[in-house]
Amino acid sequence: MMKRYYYIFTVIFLAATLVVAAFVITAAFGAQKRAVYEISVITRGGSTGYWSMVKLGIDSAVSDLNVELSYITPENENDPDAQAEAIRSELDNGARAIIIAPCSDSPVLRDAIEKAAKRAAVVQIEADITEAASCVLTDDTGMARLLSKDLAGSLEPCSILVPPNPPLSVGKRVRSIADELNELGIKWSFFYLTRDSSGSMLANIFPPERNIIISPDTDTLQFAATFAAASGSSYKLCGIGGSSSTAYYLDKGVIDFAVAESAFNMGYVAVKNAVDRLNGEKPDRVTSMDYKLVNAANMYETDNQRILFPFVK
Amino acid sequence: MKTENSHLVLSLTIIVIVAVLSIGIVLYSAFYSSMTDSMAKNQRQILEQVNLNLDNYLRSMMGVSDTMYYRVIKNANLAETGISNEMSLFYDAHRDKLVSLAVFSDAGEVIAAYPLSSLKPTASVVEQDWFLRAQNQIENLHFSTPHVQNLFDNLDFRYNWVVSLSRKIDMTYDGEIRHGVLLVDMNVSGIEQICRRVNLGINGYVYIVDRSGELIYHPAQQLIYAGLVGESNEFAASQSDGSRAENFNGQSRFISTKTVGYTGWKIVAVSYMSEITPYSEILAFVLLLVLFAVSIMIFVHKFADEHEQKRKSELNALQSQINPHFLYNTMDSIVWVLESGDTRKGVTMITALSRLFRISISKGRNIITVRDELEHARNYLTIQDIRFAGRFTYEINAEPEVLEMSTIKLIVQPVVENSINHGMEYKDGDGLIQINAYVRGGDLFIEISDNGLGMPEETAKKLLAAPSQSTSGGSGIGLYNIKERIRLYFGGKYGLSIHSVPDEGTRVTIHLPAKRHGDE
Repeated sequence: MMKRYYYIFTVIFLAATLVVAAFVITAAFGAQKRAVYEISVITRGGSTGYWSMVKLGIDSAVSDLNVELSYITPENENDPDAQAEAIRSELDNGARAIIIAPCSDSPVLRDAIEKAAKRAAVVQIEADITEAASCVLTDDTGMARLLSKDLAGSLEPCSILVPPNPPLSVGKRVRSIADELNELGIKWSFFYLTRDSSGSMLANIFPPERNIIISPDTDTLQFAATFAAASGSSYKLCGIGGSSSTAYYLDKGVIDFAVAESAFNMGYVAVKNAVDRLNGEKPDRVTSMDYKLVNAANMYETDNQRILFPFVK
Repeated sequence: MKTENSHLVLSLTIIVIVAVLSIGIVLYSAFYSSMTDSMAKNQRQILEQVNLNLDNYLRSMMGVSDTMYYRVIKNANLAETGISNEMSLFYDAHRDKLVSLAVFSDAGEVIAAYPLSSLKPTASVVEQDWFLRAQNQIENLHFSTPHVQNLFDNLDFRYNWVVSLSRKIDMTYDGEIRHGVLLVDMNVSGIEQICRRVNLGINGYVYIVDRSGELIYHPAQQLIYAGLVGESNEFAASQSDGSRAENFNGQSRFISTKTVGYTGWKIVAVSYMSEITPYSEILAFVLLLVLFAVSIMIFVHKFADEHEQKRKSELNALQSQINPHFLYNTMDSIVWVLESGDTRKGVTMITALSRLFRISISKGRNIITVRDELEHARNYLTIQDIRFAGRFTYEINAEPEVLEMSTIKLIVQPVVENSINHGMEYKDGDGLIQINAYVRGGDLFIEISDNGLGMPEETAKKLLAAPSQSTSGGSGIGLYNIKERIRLYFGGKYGLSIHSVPDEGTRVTIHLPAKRHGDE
């Protein structure tokens, strides 16, 4: 009888040991092998200086967080249908997380994001069009307000540059700047930029009668600064931006002042947010990036240089 | 049913669990301590290596500064010759580590600079921190914290993060000594490469802070600057060299620090405890202990249960044995009764004997009703009453409610047998055996008393003692066995007791739980 129970005991114990051993080996190998995260980034299309900064942040996070990344750039810039289709396609291809810069708040795109959020980790950058997905952005209204405040007391009329086919976030900034200028009692008008056949913005139609030019985004600001520097005009140029060109033209005195945003940080945090969600964590739904009002005199102050010049490895 | 063995099993189980957990805790503590020591040793080795590489790097930069100063600037008459050529040679020799070399006058004017030489109109050299430190502490070389190089015009939108190495210098202008500052801007990527080579697990890393805790290098420097990631850099800067555990942002970490010789910077190695002892492995270890304890518990329980069943079977087998003398005597008595022509008594005895056997068998069940048990005793008494030819009388009384209660079978008859064999032998019609069954205090009692010879207290105790000491009489089955059977089935609270007074009689009380038959 004792023999029988020794047998039972041995079998149970060996089985238990095998189960635990298997568990430990799995855990050990799992620990040694760093997880790889497959993430798709859907851009607004087109290639801009601003996006290259966002990409720099994304690529930096990719390296730090062991991400396998796919960039999806729709053929047409700021095309919501193309973005919605890209979301569906990436999901069908097995993407576990999607980072998207929504170019508009069209129902088609919103619906695609909301459906995607049920199947994968979805992070919006630049613009927040649905609460179904998390979002990493810079407060467009806040930046517009900060920019406009520095114009308080100005008696000169302003032109607010409107880039061709502006994405959602830029459109929001344009409207916010206009609202703020109205509140400050400053005269202003929109100036719509156009593109030539190659897609470049046309410089020869700059507003000659205006003295203050306001650019709502990095690329327009760079375009305006390049034009102003080349033409030697006496425009007072300001805007929202966050690239080395913004810093360069601030340094040169071509741009009077700017609200600096960190596109690099936005890209990095978007990837980190997606990875956190893939790991089952629940970061805040909305992450707001910092921004600063900078000019030639203060751009190298510690806090300002940290936002203007990302510490890129 | 709760038995003594249950207590044994419980005790053994607790002992096993405590023992296994104790061993587990000791083993785990030893393992954890060993891993922590190993991690501290590993971190120290890594810090030594990083320190060595960083020291070499910084010394090479200091070497550039020294050579530039002592071999070029000190030997040049700057009123006649420039030093740009020599400067370009030094720069080219170290271009992977350098961003720029520059010499400034006390007023902040550029004396020489390479590769860029055009000072920005907005640049105020004399207000730069590295310039002020060089001016104020003339005997030292000064390392700045990382900052963007912002002195010279560049045409390609490039802005480099640098660590500036500055020193106060003397320059000769036709024999006149003028003071100035030599600036060596080091590329931060040189420091980054030294720190990024280390292997401190998946999430571990090395970072460098200056004396005030300002970051010189950190793998998440940009995120820290943006306030998106935290670091205990100021705390680390305040600590002396060594290793320690810390809890930062809810994560247990192991930290080692080492001070870099000349600069006073601290190199900090960070490892995460969850990688030293992954939670999954801790869980597996605990699971192993639990499984081990459960296995032992199952084994002990099974063994104890088997042992208990075995004892029950043995006792039941013993109990169910019919004394062959009783059978022989009964059959003999029946023959005599029938030969004497008293067929009624013969029929009564045969009927009683038949019923006696039927209840003894009880379809193999060991638990029967009190009604059957008393009926069994009554049949036995009927037979013995005829055999002993009226030497005693008997009474069986039971409260109605007890009749349907459960009892182990064949526990009353052996006691009655003892009463007859040892109490009624010398009686002559005045012997009395009484059986009373009743419930008191929620328990069932079956009391068998006689007015026989009785016995001393020591004898009664011996009857209930272990078999080797007991005196087995009557049917050959000791009262001890009855007591053991009751305890095995119902637990140690129950059993059998004897109260006897010599020459007055004996009362045996069987104590059982009051349970309705079929409820258990």
